[in-house]
Parts: sequence; C-alpha cells; structure tokens
Amino acid sequence: MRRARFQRARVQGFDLTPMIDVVLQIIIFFMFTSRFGELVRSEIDLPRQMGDDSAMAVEALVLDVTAEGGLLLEGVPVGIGQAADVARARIAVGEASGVRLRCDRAATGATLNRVARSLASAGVDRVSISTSQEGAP
Amino acid sequence: MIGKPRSRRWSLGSALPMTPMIDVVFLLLIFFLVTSQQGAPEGKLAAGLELEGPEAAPSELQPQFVDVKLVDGSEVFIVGERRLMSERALRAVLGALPKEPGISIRGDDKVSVDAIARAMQAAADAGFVRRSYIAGGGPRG
Repeated sequence: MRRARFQRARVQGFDLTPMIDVVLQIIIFFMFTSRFGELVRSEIDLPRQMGDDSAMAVEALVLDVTAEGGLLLEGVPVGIGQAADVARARIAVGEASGVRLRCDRAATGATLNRVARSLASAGVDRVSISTSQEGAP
Repeated sequence: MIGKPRSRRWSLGSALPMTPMIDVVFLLLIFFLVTSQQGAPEGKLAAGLELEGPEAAPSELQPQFVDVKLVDGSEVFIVGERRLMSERALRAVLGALPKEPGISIRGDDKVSVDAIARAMQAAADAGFVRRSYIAGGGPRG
C-alpha cells in the first residue's frame, strides 16, 4: 500500500520542465535555420564546386537557369529581357547589388552567354554563379 | 465567509494546466520539422560582367584570359598557347600568373556551364580576387 501511494505521488509529480525546455530549444533552432525563401526556388542541379568565400555576400537577385535554357525568376518563367529589366530596376532602388545565377550544370554556355550579355547591357556588372558544395572535389 | 480568500482551482505552483501549451508546442515542432529544408549548402562564384568588343571598358593592365572551348568533343581550358584538359592543370598554370591584373573567363557557346564553373573555381583557388566573365562566341543579342 505504501508502495502504491509512492508510485502515485511519483506520477503526479512528473516534472515536464526539462522536456518543455528541450522542445522549445528545438523550435527555436528550426525557426532560425529554416529558409522559407528558398522554397520557391526550383530544383536545379548546380555545378559541384566549393565556391569562393569572398563571393557576393550582399543581397542579390536570384535567377534560375534550367538545363533547357529557360529562365525562372522566383519560380516564374521570364524572358531574358524581362529578367534584365527587373535586375536593373532592383539594383537602381538598392534592393539588390547584383545577380546570382543558379545555372543547371548541364545548361550550355550559349544560355549563360545570352544572359550575361543581356545583364551587362542593362548595366549589371556583378554576377555570381551558385554552386553545390555537396559532391564538390 | 467575508474576508476569507476564495480557493483557487489551480494554484500556480502545482497544477497549472500544461496540456494546451504542450499541444501548441508540439504542433509548432511538427510544422518546422516538416517545412524546414535540409538542402545541400550552396556556394557562390562571384565575377564581374564584361562586354567583349568595342563596348568593353578600357583597362590599363594587360588582360589575362582563360578560354573555355569545345575542342574535338572535349571541354578544354586555353590559357595563351596552352591547352589544359583538367581543372588541376588549370589551377597550376593560373597559380603562376600575376594576380594584380585579374583574370577574365570567356565561355564558348558550346561548352557546359559546369566547365565554366570549373574554370571560375580554379581562378578563385589560384588566388585571383578580380575575376570577370566575358560572354564569348555565338551571335550577339
């Protein structure tokens, strides 16, 4: 009987504080590490390179280049001229300082060159090419 | 009963109802677990953009070029007279060049973006801070 009372007292006094602490810590971790902005980006097989640490750390307009040569701005297909106009406008108002190209590694240089010429003609003088560090040599 | 404090059903220390809070906390946890993206970390290869031809900005320094071309079905890196097949060889050649003038990478229309990225990575690894990309080959416009 004493033992049953003791067990009941243990159940009633179950301390939830450490569990709540841990769960809240996990929530805070996910809040800081989740990147909702990248959910709108399309799945692209980027060139497998480590990249450069000194690369553009400031806000850049992200432009996806698919293997077939299509362009996607925030997940929406756009033409080269339209993409260059948006880049010029965003740079002019200070929302971006350059363009980050997320090119599929299988895309041809012809597509990259057309985009580069168009951007350069629009006055964009800074680009960076996104790379995937996974599988990089 | 006047002056006697009313007994509270929940006293703060012992029996505060935790169930709703735990429900909400677990819902939040499941939401973040499901929506968080564990993608591969992305790197960046930065370069200035330059135009080829008469529109190009004049430079006081002699430009150094890496041409990425398709020769006999293979992607090769051309530095001056040297044709290099691998990124390692390109890195070794670029490592011996002076860094002050910077380097321009010119990608041909027929090569893949992967080959251009390899050339840019080799230039970055060789220590070139000033890197630019020049759209090469093909018709303009």
